[in-house]
Order: sequence, then structure tokens, then C-alpha cells
Amino acid sequence: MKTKIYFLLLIVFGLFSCSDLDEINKNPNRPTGDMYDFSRSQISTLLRAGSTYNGADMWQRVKSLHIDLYSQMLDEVPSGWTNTRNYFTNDGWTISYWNSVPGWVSSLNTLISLGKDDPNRVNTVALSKIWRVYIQSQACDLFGVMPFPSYKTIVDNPPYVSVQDQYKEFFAELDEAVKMFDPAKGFLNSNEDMIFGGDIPKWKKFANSLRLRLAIRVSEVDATLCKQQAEAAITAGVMESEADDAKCPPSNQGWGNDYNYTLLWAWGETQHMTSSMEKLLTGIGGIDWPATIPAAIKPAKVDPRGPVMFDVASADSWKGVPPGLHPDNVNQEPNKSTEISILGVYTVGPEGARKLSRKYDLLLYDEVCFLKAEAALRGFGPGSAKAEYEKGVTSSFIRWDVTGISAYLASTDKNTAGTSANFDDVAGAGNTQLEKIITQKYISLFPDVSIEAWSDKRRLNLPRFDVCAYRDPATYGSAPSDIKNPASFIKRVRIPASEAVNNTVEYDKGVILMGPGGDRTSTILWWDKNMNYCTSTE
Amino acid sequence: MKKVTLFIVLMLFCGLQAVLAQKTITGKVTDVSDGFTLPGVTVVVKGTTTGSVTDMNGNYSLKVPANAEILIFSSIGYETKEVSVGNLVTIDVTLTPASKLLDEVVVTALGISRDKKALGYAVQELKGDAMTETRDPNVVNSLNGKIAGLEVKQASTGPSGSSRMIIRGNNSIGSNNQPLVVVDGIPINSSTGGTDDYWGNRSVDRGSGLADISPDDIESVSVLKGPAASALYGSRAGNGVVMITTKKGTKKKGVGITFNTNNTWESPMETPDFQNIYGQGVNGAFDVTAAGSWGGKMDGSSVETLMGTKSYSPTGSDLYKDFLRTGFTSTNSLEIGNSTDNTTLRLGVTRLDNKGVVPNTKFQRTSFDLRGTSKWGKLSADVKINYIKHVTDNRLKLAGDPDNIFQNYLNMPRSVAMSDYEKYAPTYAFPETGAPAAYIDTYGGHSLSPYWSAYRNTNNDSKDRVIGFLALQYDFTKWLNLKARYGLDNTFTTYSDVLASGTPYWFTQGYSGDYRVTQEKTFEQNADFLLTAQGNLVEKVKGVFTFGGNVMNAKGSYQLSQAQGLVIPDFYAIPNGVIRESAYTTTEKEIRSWYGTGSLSYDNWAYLDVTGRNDVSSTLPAANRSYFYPSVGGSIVLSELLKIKSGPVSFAKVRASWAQVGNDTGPYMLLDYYNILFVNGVLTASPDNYKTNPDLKPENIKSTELGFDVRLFNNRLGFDFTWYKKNAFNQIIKIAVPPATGYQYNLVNAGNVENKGIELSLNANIVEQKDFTWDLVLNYSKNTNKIIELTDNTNIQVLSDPSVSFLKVVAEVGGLYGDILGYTYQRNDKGKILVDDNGIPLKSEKMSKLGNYQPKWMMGLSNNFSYKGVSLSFLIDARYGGKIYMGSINSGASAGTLAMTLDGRDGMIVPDAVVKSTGADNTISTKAQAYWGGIAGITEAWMYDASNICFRELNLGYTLPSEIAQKMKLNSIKVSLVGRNLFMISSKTKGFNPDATYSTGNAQGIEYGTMPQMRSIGFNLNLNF
Repeated sequence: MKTKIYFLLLIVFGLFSCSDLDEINKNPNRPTGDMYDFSRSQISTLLRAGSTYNGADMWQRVKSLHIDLYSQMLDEVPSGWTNTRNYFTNDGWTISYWNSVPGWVSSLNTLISLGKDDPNRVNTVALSKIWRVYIQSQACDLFGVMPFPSYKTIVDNPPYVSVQDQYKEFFAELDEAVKMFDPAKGFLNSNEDMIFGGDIPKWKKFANSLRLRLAIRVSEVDATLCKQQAEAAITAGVMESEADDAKCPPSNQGWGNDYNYTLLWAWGETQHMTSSMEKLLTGIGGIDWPATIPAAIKPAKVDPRGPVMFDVASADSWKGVPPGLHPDNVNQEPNKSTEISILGVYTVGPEGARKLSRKYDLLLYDEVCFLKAEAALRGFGPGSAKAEYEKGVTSSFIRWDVTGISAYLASTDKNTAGTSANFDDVAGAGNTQLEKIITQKYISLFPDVSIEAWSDKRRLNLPRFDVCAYRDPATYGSAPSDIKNPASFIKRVRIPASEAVNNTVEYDKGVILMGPGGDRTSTILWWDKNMNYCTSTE
Repeated sequence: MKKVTLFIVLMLFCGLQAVLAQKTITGKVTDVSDGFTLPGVTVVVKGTTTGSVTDMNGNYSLKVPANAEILIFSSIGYETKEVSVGNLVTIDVTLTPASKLLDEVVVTALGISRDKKALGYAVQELKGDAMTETRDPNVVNSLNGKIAGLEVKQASTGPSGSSRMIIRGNNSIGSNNQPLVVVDGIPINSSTGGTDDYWGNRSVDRGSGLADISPDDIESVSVLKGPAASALYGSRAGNGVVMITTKKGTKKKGVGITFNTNNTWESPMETPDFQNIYGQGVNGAFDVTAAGSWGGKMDGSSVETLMGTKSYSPTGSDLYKDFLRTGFTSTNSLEIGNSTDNTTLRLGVTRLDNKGVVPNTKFQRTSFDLRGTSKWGKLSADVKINYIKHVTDNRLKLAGDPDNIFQNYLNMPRSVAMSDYEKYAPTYAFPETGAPAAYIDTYGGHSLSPYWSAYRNTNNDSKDRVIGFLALQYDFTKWLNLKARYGLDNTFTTYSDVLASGTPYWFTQGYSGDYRVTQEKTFEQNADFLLTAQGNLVEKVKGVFTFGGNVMNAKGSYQLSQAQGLVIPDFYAIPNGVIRESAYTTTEKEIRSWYGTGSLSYDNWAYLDVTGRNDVSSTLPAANRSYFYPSVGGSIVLSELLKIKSGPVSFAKVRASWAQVGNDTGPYMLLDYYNILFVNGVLTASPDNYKTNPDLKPENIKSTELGFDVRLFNNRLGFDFTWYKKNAFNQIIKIAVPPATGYQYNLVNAGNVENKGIELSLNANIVEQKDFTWDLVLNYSKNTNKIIELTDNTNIQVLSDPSVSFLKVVAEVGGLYGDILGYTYQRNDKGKILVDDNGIPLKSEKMSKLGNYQPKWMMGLSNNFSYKGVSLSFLIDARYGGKIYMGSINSGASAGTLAMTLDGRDGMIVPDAVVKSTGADNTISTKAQAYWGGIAGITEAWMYDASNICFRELNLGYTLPSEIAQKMKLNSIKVSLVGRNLFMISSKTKGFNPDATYSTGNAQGIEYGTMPQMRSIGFNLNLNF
């Protein structure tokens, strides 16, 4: 009798060893922070994420479908109806970037906080500070007023920060970071630092160059700050040659992690030249269209980089498509996709041999030259505007593997906008020295650093762009369509609608910080004073 | 294995029942429903006046003549029973209450059979045959319209997909709202498969756990709707419980073999209307690069297309007619079962073969269900093993997946014919490139050939599942017993999925194609015991008390092997991938519980139930791990209390209950973990996008329920009415937080979601003649729901995929669960639509509320007629209210393929509109292409009323006269003509399914590229040997 009862109870509970419930709830599959020093792994992960928009999904939605269109560097055969090309908002395309940036910044904040009292981590803390500024500044120039989580004052829900205050912090942080580096202490190894291979001096140059980039950005809103920061950056030491270029290789690990323009090609979304780009490249430099590249429709003279950046279209023509076509007119005569030049194989590689591992440009020596040239033109910094300008163009020629630099720089032949390459030739409309610098900078930023090109456009209304053929009528219904009016062009990307839903209080305060225009694509950022330096009459 | 051995031993015992003949027979008479002993039962030897009466304990003793053959047991209120004497000396008898309605016995929590009138809460029960004749391969669909308060959304991916069940509204913001499924007292894994991912991303719906159970093995299904009913199941029962009782062997005439065959043919119930005038192109002219049908009139001219020179003409070819085929489902089941007084044995074998309407799809299910019970002396045993094998080929891809053929067809130009693709068979690729033959050369806009999706990008899964239990019961005395039970549910699934070489988009390091294999195991064990004491406490007061304990342990593992970028084309092996990925993860969770119940009844008119349960869950922090929750309920049978014996009222009962249920969460939610991956010599590490919470508390649902049950006119008319209110507090939610916090979600305890509603069931026995009967059953339910509170910082939570930019399904404080936000038309202050200078309606800048996805009320009406051997039954179900975003109509309208886009091709003026810039009435002419494209982003334009009435089931059956059956050496033969989803009586969604869903998650109210509902018609043949 008793035996039977025990037998029953044994069946019931004997089947389970009375293991510890805490033990059961310990995740065997993923590590916790106390198991390993993740600080270097995390920085390394964030270096690549921040450089590549974390892979094709985000890269396509933010870079290709926003920044490339707004910088008018590329256009593509659209699918569907009106979209970002027409200055419409598509926050399904921006949401994951919007969500990711503060996460990346917060992770870097944690690394800075954890490492600040450990002398052996001084270099990784410095790098974290630099990278935090790089990531945030990229997003800030897209959205403008947005949260910028601090590592100094921890708040549950970081408030929106004005663009001015973000920039203030960028400068302070870069200054501090550069001074922190201690070559005697450990740093990332060459695998972990896929950008500079653990080279501290190069990181310093990168930080100073980034500081120069951001300093020039405030030229119109705060000339004093611009001068002060630009001079400080140049004094501290910016990039001196192509060897200092900041580039990040794709990981090539799994789908979405090859050089992303090659992926767009793989799924049939060809990247086309815009009419604005065509006009900038046509005629400048006085060099004949290369005989080695046959084309029925082509300009007689072309910037030699042009036929390398954009291949002749299948219909044997080299020309650009007007930006922002109405969907009814997309891919219609006279803008059939077969007739529009496409992103060249020099960049993406030929079919069957795509350049899957091409590194992403983050900040190149050429850009630094043009920044210094502009600084000199504005009357500060060492060196001459002309010399820096010519160094920048020369470096860009080398990069695009073309010849004829001397003739090019001497030529007074003008492009469609009226700009020539000769720095001293300022005859005619559209041919100021600032127009030359920004035109050359624009060409040299192609295609990876298109965000800088869009920022220059907003800051200076340079270089000369065509106005989008069709723009969101709800916002641009009464907007000007004059190329010399900066308000003709898109100024920022709207904050995803989820913020108004999930973060109403802070968002509403943020909208006030945005100024009169509020959260619209036509609202100018702090450093954008709606200035127009475009003198082109075309 | 252990269980099988034991089973054999039990069988041997049964054979040892040696009995001697005696002239004195003794025994005990009990009530079949509650096991209570019955005093005053008359026992008579048939054909004599020899008899006796049972004593207060239901015992009798009777001297019988040696030749006595049959004893007759009779008592007022019970059905008279005749029992063969044979050699027996002890004859224990159970009597069944006389009224078929009055004393229904239902299976309640922990598998305890209860007299329905004793319950303080609503339970609805369905018999298994309601699911076998007019069968749906998925048991869940068979419940549609038959249970008041149960909402069933049928899978949009055919018979192998999973359907969504919701009982009494949605409670949970962060997690699953579907009920717990319990088979024979043991909870089983019943997870469902549709994901909320709007873009599909290769996800398929791999079916639900509940659908594994063969309808042929089901004795009955009880739906425990409220927490009071389900409180004993604790943690997982807050959303209600679907309790399935499977069949045991029963005493049968003849050899006890039943064969059933059910064969049905499936085709779309309704299809949308397409236009057949304009072909591929834009702006009224043919264009080979266009995805839609905004071209010119198809005039038969010759055009150069990517798939060759062809006539620009209406092809007459149609996905529904020329690509889909007639589906066929054949279910054959064999049941062998019998019983002796102490032993039952049953084997059920069911084989289902489905050939899907989409070519190359197939679904097979084989199920063996072996059940035996035996009793020897005071010990009894119940053993079951159910083995299920599934094999499925090519489950459909969902929503925005590039392989969703139903979505792609909406874009396919009307001048493209199915035969254009077919001529590229068997590879369906352009021979020069290996890329899929298509009508445009860019990948945007869903242009993949349906043949490529069906024949090249294939998937396959197989599932092996074993569900079983062993239960032993020991009766210490007449009033005390102990039951011990061990149950297991073990599944092993292998899923493989191929993207063929040449598939656009999917490139890795320059190679196309992808091959992925996942293997999943789940193993859930439940061990429990239950000590039950019952008897008369004092006169007129009966009591049942139980005390029990349970240990639930659930383990799972997931293994992935993936080859990205196939070097040797179309060779699907992991080493062939240019990148190979693998993962192996395991999970484990355990809950240890104690529980007790007390039931008291007084004089058969007053009943009181109290339950309490304490769970200790591994998933919660030590301080909050143990949680207790009680329930109390009762009923008063007015008809007994007031001694109503005549008049129109035959039965009346009021009931009330209150309950609380606690709930835990998934494993590993308390600590921060890193996601790691070794890439190019570096360990990459990233944290989760949500902040974990080391102080999680259990969730809590409180509910109150009141109801009454009235039967009139000798039980011919019955009403059952329930009012309920339940509030779900302290929900464990991954609540969306501003990304500035560094996280996208915080794991919190928050919220108060209230559901209130009524349920009404009406049973009417309208005609009751000897040869003709007509029964009617009506189920009605209405649920209203309110979000009372979220967190201090948050008053809204988005339930839908965050990457869907034009629509958000939300739970917002003050609103209803499932409110849908989206962009509206811009309107002036008089409510007129504003248009831009091109005459196209403008979209609002901000989102606003466009409706709610939940139905306002639901109804099911079934009628059963029988005339002699012929029976006819049908079911109509209706849902009223609720909005749905019809993504398919948006796609088809934007692409100009739907018939609704025919008007205004050459010019139209948006009526009743005002030009925003001028304020003048709109006279600007636009064209259909610009109009439909222009409003594509205006969410409001695509919101439809989901109300519908569907003729859901029809069954016309004929039972052959028994003489004929006997001539064929059969006990009975029944043939039936059966149909399901026959037609829509009313629907507002233009031929698309108003109940469509691609998700079984909480983001309902979004339709996108879903397959039509399938009408199935066929026959059922039941043979009893």
C-alpha cells in the first residue's frame, strides 16, 4: 500500500531533478558583460556599423534613397509612386537609422564612462569620443535637432538638443579626444581597427580633419567659431596625404555586407547620373572626350573623371537625368533609363567581377584640401587657397586614375554652370573661387561622401543644382524653383512619425528648437542660413 | 519506451479477472457525472418482481435466481439502465441523469468532469463529430462560429497554416493573446506561425501546435473562457483554455472498427475583379519597363517584351484559373476500439493528404493515437501515446515577400500571360543569364514569376511529434483517491528553405542563391498529482476537495545552418555556400506549482467553488518568483431552490465568479546579454535593443463574470447569458521607449487593459417529431476593450512592425486595443478633400486614428434538420465592425490591374474636392494613373469595413437504414456531402478576404497579398464495423 503511494510520488517528482531555478534561467547561448572585456569588441563593431550604416538595409534606405538623391549625385529608376526623390517623407526608410544612432552613441557613452578612470583604456576612450562625434554629426546633418545622449549627465530620456549645442559638443569632444591619446598605452589591434589598423597618429589626424569639416560647416552662422575651430584643427594636424584617408572596408560577411553599390546592381537598381552632375562635369578643364570611350551622345569636352564615374548608357549616350521627375515622367522620353549614364564600373566593378570589398570613403585627404582652401579663401588658416585647391584636384585625379591634371588646372574652359578649373580665372557668371572649390569638392566626394555635398549645398547653395522637377506639393507647393534660391532645395529629413507617438513630450520640445518651420523637410538647420553663393546664370 | 512496457503489463492484468458465480449480487450505484453515490435506486431482476433499493451510500444487495439474466436500475431523474448479470457478483452501476440538457457534464480544468450546473462560469463544449464530418484540416477553424466569444481568424496560407484564436478580446500588449491548449489535462505547445513582418523576409507560417491533433481523435473540445474557469492552469491560462479530450475505447457492438473517409476539393471562394482592357505600360502606352497596367488599350498589336515578341492583348489568362489548381484534401481514418468493464483500448490512425491550390505545394499528416485504460482493484491506469508526422512542401511566403505570388500578381501587367512564363519551364529562367524570366528587368515592385516562386524558391519541413501521458489513480477509500500523471510533448522539426541560384536581390560576395536549414526541438514535461476527497459532509451538503502539485519543464533548442551565396549553382548543400553561418541556441523554463480546490453543494441547488494556486517560475527573479492566485465562484439553481416542477421554466440558474490569474514570462529576460559574432579576426559584440529588467514581477489578470442559464418548455429552448469584465495588469511588456534612451524597448511591468463583454448562446429545439427534428444554435458575443493605463512615461505602444511607415496598429491609453493610425486625406474645415495643383488629393502631415481592427460583435448561427436518416446542417457566421487596411487593393489599384482602375484612364476630376492653393472647387483634370498612384500613400483611402457574413459550413448526411448496413456486415453507414467556406453572403472588401491576416500576432487589421479563402466541397463516408 505505502509502497504503491511512494511509487506514484516517485513517478511524479522523480522525473525532475530539483535543479536550481536561477541556474535554469541563465542564458547558455549568450555571454554577459562580466565574462569578457567587450570594450574593444564593441568599439570595433561600432566602427564598422557607423561607417557602413550597418549593412545594406539601412545603407540603401538612408544613403541611397535620401542622401544620394538630395546631393543629386545619383538618381535611380524608381519603383512605385512619388517618394523621397520628390522630397516626400518615407519614415519607414529612416526609422531603423533613427533608432540605431542613439543606441550606438549610448554604447560609446558606456565605454567612455567605464574607461574614464582606467589609465590603460585612455586610447579607447579617446577613440570612443571621436567616433561618437562622427556618428552623431552624420545623423545631425540629416535630421538636425535630435537627442544626443550624454555620458556626463545621465538622464532616463535624453532631451532633443539644438544643432548649435550638438556642434558645440562636437568641437569640445574632438579637442579633448586628440589630447587624450597616449602612445604608450594599449590600443585596438589591426583587426579591431579596420579603418586605421590601430595607428594612433592617423586617428588624431582624422579627428582634426573631422573638426575642420565641422568648423567650415558653421561658416555662415558663426564666422568666429568657424575660424577658431578651423585654425585649432589645422594647427593640431589634419590629414597630409592620401595615406591618411579614412576608409572602412565592408566585412563581406553574409548578405548585405558587401560594398553596397554592388548590391544595388545585383538587384537591378541601376544608379544614374543626374543632369546637375552632367552639367558640372561637362566642358570643365578643356579636355576632349576620351577617344577610348565611344559614345554617340556625349559632350565634346568633359572633366576626365566624368566618363570614369559614369559609364555610357546602353543607348550609347552619356547624359544625366533631371532630378525628382514626376513618376509619370520617370523612364519616359527623353529620360529613358537606357539613355541615362550609370554609375561606372570603375567604382562597382564589371559584371561578374564586382568590387565587393571596395572600401567606403569616410573622410579623404582631398576633402581636407578643399576645406583648407575654403578656410584660406575666408582668410584664415595657413597656406593659400589656390595651392590647397590644386592639391585637392590633383589628389582626386589620382584617385579616379585619370591624367591631364596640369592642362585641366590651367584651363579656363567652363562647365555648363559657368565654372572653370583655373583658380585664377574668375571671369563670367558662376565662376567665383568659392564656386570652383565647392565644385571640385563635390566631384571629389563622389559617391560615398555625398552627405558632405548635400551639406555644402544647404550651407552655400553650391554647387549649382537643377531644381527637382516634382516636389511634395504639401510642403513645396509654393516654394521657389529658382536655382539661386536655396529654399528651392530640400533642407533636412523629417523625424520618423514614431517619435511624435512614443516620445511626445520631448519631441514637441524638439520641434520648438527646430524653429519656425518645425518638423518639415523645408526647415533649415542651425548652420544653414539660406545663403546663396551661386552666381551661375544657367 | 517505459510507458509502452507498462502498458503491456497493464493489459496482462486485465486478463486475470477471474469471477465466480453467486446468487447474491452486491454493488454500488453512482452518478456518472460527479461520482456521487445514489440512494433510493430501485434494482429489479428483469421479468420478475425480485428487487431491492440502494441504501444511503448507494449500496445494494440482492439475492437473484440462478437463471437471472438482466438487472434493471431505475431512479427518478435518471435514465433507466439494464445490465447483464452473467457471472458477476459485484455490479457497480453508474446512472446518467435523465435530461439531456439539465445535467450536462463538462470537462473542466485539470481534466475534472463537472456537472455543468455546478459551475460559476461559462463553459462551452463541442463534440468531436462537429469537427470530423464538415472537417477543416485545422481543428481551430472548425471552432469558428460555434463558441460565443471565440474569434477565429483563419490562416491565409491554406490548410497547413495557423489560425489565430482570441477568447474575450485581447489582453496582452507585449505577448501572445491566444489561449492555452490542453489535451487530456496536459498543456501542449500550440505556438502559431504567422509573423508581423510586413516585408515577409522569407518567413512562412509553419502551422500551429493545436492543428497537429487529428479531429478524429477528439471526443470533445471545451472552451474555458474566463480566468475563473482556467485559474487552475495558472500562468499560461490568462487568455482562456481550449481543452481537448481525446477518445477512449468505448463499448461497441460488433468488432468496434470505424472507418471514415473525407475527401474535399478546394478552390478560391472569391476572387477580385481585374480589368482586361489596358496592358503593360505607363501614360497610356506600352512600356516594357513598367510593372503595372497603365499602358494603352490592348489592341492586339505586336510588342517586344522581355519574354519575346507577342500580341498586346488581353491574355484571358489568370493566376486563379491558369496557375492555381484545384486543391484536394483526403483524410482517411481508422479507429479500432473496444472496452470491457475494466479495460478500454483504442487505436486511431489518421492520414491526411493535401494537394494545395498553389502548384508544387503539398501537406501530409499522419497520426497514430493509442489510448488504453484499465482498472484493477483500487488502482487504475490511463495511458496514451499520440505520434504525429507532418511533411509539408512549399509553404507560402507571406505579405511583402518577393515570393508572395498573390502579391506579385497584383502588379503583373494584364498583357502578360501565364504561358509567357511557362515556356521557360522547367527552370523558369532566361537561358542567357539564369535570372528568372520576368516582364521587367529591375527587381523593384515585386515582379518575380509565380513559377519561380513555386518551383524554384522552395521550402520543405517535416515535423515529428509525440504527445503522451501516463496517469495512475489509486482509490484509498470510496471518498479519497490519488491521481498521479506524467505527460510529455516532444516535437522535432526540420525546415529547409531555398532561394535558387539566379534569384535577384539575394547576392553574397557576388554569388546568388541561399540555402538554409533549421532544426527545432521542443520538449515539455508535466508531472502532477492530485489528491481528491469527496463525500457528504452533513446532510444535503456534499463536498469535493482536491490538493495537487505540478512541475512543468519546457526545453527547446534551435539549430541553424545557412549557406549564403551558392558557388555551384543550384546545389543546395551547406559547404557550397561562400558564407556559411550556424547557430545553436537552447532555452529552458520550469514552473513548480501547488494548488487546491474546494467545491461545496447544498441540496442540489447551491454550489460554491474555491480554487487557489501558487506558481514558482524560473523566469522571474527570486524575490518575485513565487505568486499565488485565487478564484471563487458559485451558482444557484433557482429551479431547484424554488421547486419549480411545472410551467414553462424547466431550469434556471444564476452564476457568478471572480478570479485572478498570474503569469510569468519567457526565459532569460532578467540580465543583459551580448550578441556576439567573430568577423574578420574580431569578436563583434552588440547589446540587445531592449533594456532587461532584473525586478520583473508576475503578470496579473483579474476577472469577474456573471451569468444565467434558463431552459424553457421542457428544455426545448435554452438561453445562456454571460457578462464578464477582465483587467490585465502588470503586463510584462517590451515597451517602446524613445531611442534616445539607448534602447528601443524597455522590459517593464505595466498596463491595465480592460475587456468587457457579453456572450449569449441560444439553443432551440424548434421541431421535435418522431421523424423530423430541427435544432437551432445561435452564439453571439460582443466585446469592448479599453486601454486604461500603460506606464508613467508612455501612453501608447505600437503593436505592428515598426518599419511599416504608413500605418501603426497601437494600444493607446484611452483608446481600444488595435486602434489603427494612419495618414488621412487633407480636408478643409468643411470636410472637403483638398487636392494639389495637379488635382491629386493631398495626404495629411500627421497620422490620426482611422479605426480599430476588433469586431464590434460576432455571431454564429447553426441549424440542424433531421428527417429519418437524412440530416442537414449549416452554419453561418458573421462579424460586424472592425476596420482592415487592404494592402492588396492598394497594390492592384496603384498598378492599374484591378477593375476599379478602369474609370478615368483618359481623364477624371476628383469630385467634391477643393484645390488647396486657390480654395476653388476642383475642376482640375487628372488621370486614373496619377489618381490611384497619388492616393497610394493615403492610408485612409485603403481602410475597409471588415464586417462580413459568411456561409461557413454545410453538411447533408444520410444514414443508411440498419438493415442495409447489416446486409453489408456493417453496423452503420453514413454518407455526407460537406462544404466549408461556401460563399460570402456579405463583404465589403472587393473580392479580397475581409478576415485576412498574414500574422497570428497582435498586429491585426492589415491585409497584404493574402491568398483567397478556399471553398472546400466534398464528401464524407463513415463506416462502422
